[in-house]
Amino acid sequence: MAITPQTVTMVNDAVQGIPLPDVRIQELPMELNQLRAASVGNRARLDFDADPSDFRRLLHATKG
Amino acid sequence: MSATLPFLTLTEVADAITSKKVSSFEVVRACVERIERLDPKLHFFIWSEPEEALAAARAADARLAAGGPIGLLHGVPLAHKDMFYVAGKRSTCGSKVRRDFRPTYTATVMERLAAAGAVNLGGLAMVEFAMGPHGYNAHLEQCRNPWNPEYIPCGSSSGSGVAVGARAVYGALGSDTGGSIRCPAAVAGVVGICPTYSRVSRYGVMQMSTSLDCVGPLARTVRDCARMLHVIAGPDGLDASASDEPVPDWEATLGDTLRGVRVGVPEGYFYDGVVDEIRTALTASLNVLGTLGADIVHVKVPPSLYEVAELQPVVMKSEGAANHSRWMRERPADYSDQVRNRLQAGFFIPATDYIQAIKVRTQFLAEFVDAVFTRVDVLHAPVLPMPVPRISETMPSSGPAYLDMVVSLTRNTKVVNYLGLPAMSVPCGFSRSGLPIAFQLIGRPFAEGRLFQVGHAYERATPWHSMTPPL
Repeated sequence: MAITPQTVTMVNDAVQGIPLPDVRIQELPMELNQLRAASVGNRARLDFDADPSDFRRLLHATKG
Repeated sequence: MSATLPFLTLTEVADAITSKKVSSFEVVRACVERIERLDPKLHFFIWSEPEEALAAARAADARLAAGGPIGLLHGVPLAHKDMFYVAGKRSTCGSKVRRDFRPTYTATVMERLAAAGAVNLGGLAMVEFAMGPHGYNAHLEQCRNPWNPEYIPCGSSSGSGVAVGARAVYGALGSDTGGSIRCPAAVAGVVGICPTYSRVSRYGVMQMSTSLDCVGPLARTVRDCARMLHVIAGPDGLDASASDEPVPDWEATLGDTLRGVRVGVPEGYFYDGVVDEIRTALTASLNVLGTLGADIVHVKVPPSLYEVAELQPVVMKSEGAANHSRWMRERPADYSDQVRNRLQAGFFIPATDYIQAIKVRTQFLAEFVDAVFTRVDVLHAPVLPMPVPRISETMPSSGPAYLDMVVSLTRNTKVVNYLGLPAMSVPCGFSRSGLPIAFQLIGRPFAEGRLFQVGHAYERATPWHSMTPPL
């Protein structure tokens, strides 16, 4: 499963609607696949009960 | 006297004004003259108001003469990245979209600097909407490195680094989302600190990525940065994201001994791809810290830092795209090609991926603190892994070599933003090409004082911070 120029075109036409020249439609999948790989690689880390605000709490809890 | 004034540090000139050895008017006039001479070559200002600054300086001198209360920056001329709002003043954010934007309210940091007596000389060059690491902005004249105009100033706080490095102002605010304070400071040979996430209010500051953005100073010395950060940090009723953590008097503990302080040398991640001359300069700086009494300790950083490096752009690009979603549809032609291209990817990141990247952040911070800060007090690491690139090497392109270079510039800084930790860039030498080299000190959350203590001790033992560009 990979993001392709066709994926970008379809999502943009159906959802985002930002101006995208053809050259960018061809270039974007490389970057999007990297970003996607980072997210897929971290799925196993996800804790259902984690709250984004825990981050601020931890900053204070571990302060120097 | 006026010829030497620009070469004093911020704290030296503040003390000289307060003790009436020199007037604020003389100091501001000396800076204005230097700006008039250097800005046409280096292009670090977007706009300036010298007459208003001189009038403010006269008022500061009158207040001092009258015995009125004065602040820590009384009469000291500063200038700031052009994204800190002052009611009624231009704040272009380095963009065409906001070329004529005049906010109706003032940023808390600007209120605090004014309350401390600082004089504002104007808005400094920056990458368009703070989106880019090498300092290029298609809407502006090329901002240039004060040590050699053929080299990049880095970004996005490009003008802040150049103005301070060129001794045109005594200090400047910048913002740091992936390295935008530390990298420009490093290549200009000045000190820059990205404080702990939430340490400084962002009310009235242009957003780039709200989960990552930090505001901090660039100045000539560690002490200068400690004073500026002391003035701007702390709780703010206008910014719910600002921490309530008390702000210490960092200058009071600058002289504390390094005996027993554990300085960490990272094994893994931070030294990947670091070229020899950078490694040599960093090793020499560690030797200095060792002779000052610090314990130099090798410490393995968690391998998860590689994942952090991949997730930081997921957050930054998602939030950046959301911020710009209206203008990107309504006014796409008003963006430069480079920044429009950088924004586009964020429109295709699923919300689930973005939220996941925010939710797992706590785990990565916990891992890093446990692996590093149970063993050392500060981590010492390169800012840039390579010597400062030439402008010609960084001209916009979408080729793989260009993209690798852009990623390399911030690989050692962006991970720190994702972790929310404080980090300070300190000059530690020069490359064979004559451009500055710097290390960064990374600390526990809210441990800026430890960074100042170590950086100040290093500065007192070395000449780098006192060297000035051949302008």
